[in-house]
Amino acid sequence: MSLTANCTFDLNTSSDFVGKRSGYIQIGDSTNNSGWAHHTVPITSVKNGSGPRVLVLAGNHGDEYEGQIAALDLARRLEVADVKGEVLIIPVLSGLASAAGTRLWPNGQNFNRVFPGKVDGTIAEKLAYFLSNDLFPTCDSVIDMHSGGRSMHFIPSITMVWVSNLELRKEMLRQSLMCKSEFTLLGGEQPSTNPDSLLPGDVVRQGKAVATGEFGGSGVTTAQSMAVISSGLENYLRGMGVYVGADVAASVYADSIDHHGKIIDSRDYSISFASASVDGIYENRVDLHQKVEAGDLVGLIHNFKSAENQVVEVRASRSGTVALVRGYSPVTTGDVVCQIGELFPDLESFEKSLTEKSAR
Amino acid sequence: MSGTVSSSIDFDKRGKESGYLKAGDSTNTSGWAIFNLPIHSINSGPGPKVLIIGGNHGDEYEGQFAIANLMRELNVGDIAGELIAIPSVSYPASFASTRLWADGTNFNRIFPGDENGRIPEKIAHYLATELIPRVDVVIDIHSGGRGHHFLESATATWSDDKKYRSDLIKNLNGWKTRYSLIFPSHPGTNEQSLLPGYVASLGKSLFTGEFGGSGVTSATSNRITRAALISALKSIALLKPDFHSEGYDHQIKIENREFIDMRGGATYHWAEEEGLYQNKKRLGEKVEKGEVIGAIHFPDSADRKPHLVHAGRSGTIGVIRGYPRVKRGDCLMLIGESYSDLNQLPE
Repeated sequence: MSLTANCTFDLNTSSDFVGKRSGYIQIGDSTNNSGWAHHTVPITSVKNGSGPRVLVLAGNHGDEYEGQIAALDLARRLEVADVKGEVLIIPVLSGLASAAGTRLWPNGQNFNRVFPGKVDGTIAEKLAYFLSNDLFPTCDSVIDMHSGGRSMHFIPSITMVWVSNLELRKEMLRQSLMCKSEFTLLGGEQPSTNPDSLLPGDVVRQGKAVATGEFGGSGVTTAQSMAVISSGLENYLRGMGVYVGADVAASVYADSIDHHGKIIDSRDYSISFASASVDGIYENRVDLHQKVEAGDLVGLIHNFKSAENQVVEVRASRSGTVALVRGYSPVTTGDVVCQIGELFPDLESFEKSLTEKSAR
Repeated sequence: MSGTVSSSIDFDKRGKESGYLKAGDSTNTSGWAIFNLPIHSINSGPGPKVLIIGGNHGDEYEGQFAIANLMRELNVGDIAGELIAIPSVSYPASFASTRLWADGTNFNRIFPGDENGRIPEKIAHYLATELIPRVDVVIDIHSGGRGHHFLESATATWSDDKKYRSDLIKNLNGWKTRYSLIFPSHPGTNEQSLLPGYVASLGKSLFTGEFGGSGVTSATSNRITRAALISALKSIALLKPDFHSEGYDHQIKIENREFIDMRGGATYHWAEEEGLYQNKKRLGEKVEKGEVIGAIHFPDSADRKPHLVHAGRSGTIGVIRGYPRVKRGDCLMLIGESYSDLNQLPE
């Protein structure tokens, strides 16, 4: 039990409890203008007797708004009769960053790098500790919804890290495809990053499946990206057996019904990313979904300070489908500006390619 | 004449040249400094004289890229006349990805500038007194900025002067874009403090456009902008008709052109609450009056219902919200009446 965070309603009800409750996670805070304060994080529980407990999370990064809006909508509309078991929703994990339109908290912390948190740490670390210590162990599965943030723009997709635990990998792949999004984007572990310090990594460390997605980007939302995420979330909850209500969101996203299940394999980050080699202003020269060959031009880096008006070219280091383009235009050396993966029409063709590769 | 800004290049000289507008500056870390603004000139002799400006607002990049790329590509033999280009007039704001300069100045609200003012005011004054009077045509390329996302469109602010209006319409068509947006004077703003408003006040020929938004670009918006710029320059016979730019030479098929009139009532929709805004409609979509077009969410509250935003009129959506954190008075959407033929537009 965390000593520095608590929920305003009882999270440990009996298995036959029935009810919808909304309240706040309260974290002890002490600021210049408020010596004895609480930082509050809205949370909603909809429980209808025994069944799985699924944790719905969004706003891990402040400027990724699709998940926040989808979770806020879900928290409002979900009623006891829609649920079997319990749906626990935290729509905006990083509220201060969300309000500021930034990825990071105002103190510079990336909420997705502070796990398993600290009971006596910063507010972000205390919240992470509460999730890791008090919530994750009580949940059967977790969905963590992202959307690129201001710097990146993804094909709205379910994403999955190719975890080393084989049993968990199989279950996570099953859950990803259960969302019935048109695209599932497979990635590797983040380069030069401790995988356990990420929220999904902490869930995996605890031996549980986690579903993740990147549903757009550039720090904005569109009606299209909202349709993809809302249907994906509803399909996920229904697939987990915890949502038994009407089809509200899934039917508005026709693409997911007709064309779901494609896989983009970009697990090899050593070639899947294209990065800026100099500072400047980045111009996208490829669109999402576009097919490229290794060596193709994907973007240009301009320097508007110089009358020489020269550009630095950025080229693809592999062939495939463009899954991510640059959002925020100013770039610094090392910034990822494009991600490319191999597109498979379905799971079967992807798995066949894996078998062929291992046979070689 | 400006006493505080000079040009390192001679615009009268034939040929292609690049250099800087130089404005006297004095900062905490550099007492006797010069602010250097890149500028390019191609002079091939007789013909139209044209000034192209990109980056009027820092976080609107399509025009900056299109101009920089075109100026690298063009040679004296490609044009008939004189072309002066400033790819990124507010480049410190471009590097910061902000609409405004770091001192808070909106470059598009300070015309005719101030010779003894801040750097952007000195630059505006130089444009107003030296460059704009020198040319016949001014092209000012925008793209929404972080707050807004536009259909990639040619734009025009309606003029009561019928002769000037017919020139505006000719130029609107010169861009050869699928969409055109017709605007009233900007609400609550001195029109002549805007760069295009100042150009119009001098009776000079004017091209304006909004080619995307949200502070980002896509390959598509960049392609549309570059092709539109080439079309515009051909429409005034500055660029020779046989000029060919690989991949950008009128690739856009203009079927079902739409002219969206934003001058009617209830066109602009402003936020009435502070919160997290959700776009519920897409760009180019048709809506009916009273339909829900968006929702303002209150993420700090565990149980407050969102504030729904309704269409104040029927029509076509030309602009949606970019940056979703809104406060009261932020513009969320523009809905106008769509016409397939400009001649159908009311007076």
